[in-house]
Amino acid sequence: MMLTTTFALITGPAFAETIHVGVDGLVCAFCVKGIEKSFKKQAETKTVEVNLDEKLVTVVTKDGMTLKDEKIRKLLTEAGYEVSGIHHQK
Amino acid sequence: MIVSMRMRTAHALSLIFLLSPILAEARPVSYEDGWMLMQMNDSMENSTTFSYSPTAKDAFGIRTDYMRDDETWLHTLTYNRLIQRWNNAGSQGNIFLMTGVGLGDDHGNGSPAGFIGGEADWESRRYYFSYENRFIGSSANNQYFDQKARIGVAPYIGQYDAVHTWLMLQVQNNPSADDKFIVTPLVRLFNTEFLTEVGYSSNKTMLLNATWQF
Repeated sequence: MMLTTTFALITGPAFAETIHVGVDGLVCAFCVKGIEKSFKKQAETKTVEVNLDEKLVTVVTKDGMTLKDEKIRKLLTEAGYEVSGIHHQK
Repeated sequence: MIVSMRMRTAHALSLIFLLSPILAEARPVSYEDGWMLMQMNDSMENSTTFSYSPTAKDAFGIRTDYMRDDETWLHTLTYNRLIQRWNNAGSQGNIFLMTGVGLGDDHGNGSPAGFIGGEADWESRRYYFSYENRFIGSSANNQYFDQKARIGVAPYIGQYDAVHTWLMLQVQNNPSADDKFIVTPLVRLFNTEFLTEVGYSSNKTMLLNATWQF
């Protein structure tokens, strides 16, 4: 059991992570398409959804993977938007 | 002779573009790794642009313009740049620089030509405003200046995959044209990839614009 716990700690989370990102500047469908395209290119991304009403990008990662806040901010800044908040949900 | 043949080839390619199915007036820079095909047909000119954006701030492309009043063509390689963006919780504002260098054709007389212009826009999901200008110059001393402003309102707020509708009013000014001010009420429709605009101008011409982003 100790071995399993140690292994899990080394390899990181075994489950997918859902990340909610608040984004400023989201006003149109073209914006959505650019953000989706950017996140879908990332190896960690399983699915990405953008909610225009909530100004929210929801990313679900592949099992055992995560997206760091710095990387999320970089992706969105390079796409031309600003991050208003990030919430990770295991 | 060679110039004339090149001109004919360029015109043939331009006609293919201009007569292709109407595909709008979107922003001059797409998202990173995005391609864009724009065809604009308004009260003054017809133009087609095909561009690629390696980043969300830059776009390189080819563009053909036909100015109907002067019956002149302009074929250019273009570079557009997002100079400034303001992101707010419910709105976005932008300033773009637009440039192009290439060949102008005034009734068969070709000469180096180019253009420079700017665009500023601000939009929320309910309201829209934009201003755009463009100065075209050639070594043959042909000059052309055009500017237009738009206001728009969305009658309903649609979700991402819905068809979005905008009701807009465009005022266009070209100091050298017969009709110096042209007013065009228009309807803009778009979904995730396609944007189409249809309007009818005060000089009794149709406005038909379309953009495909992929």
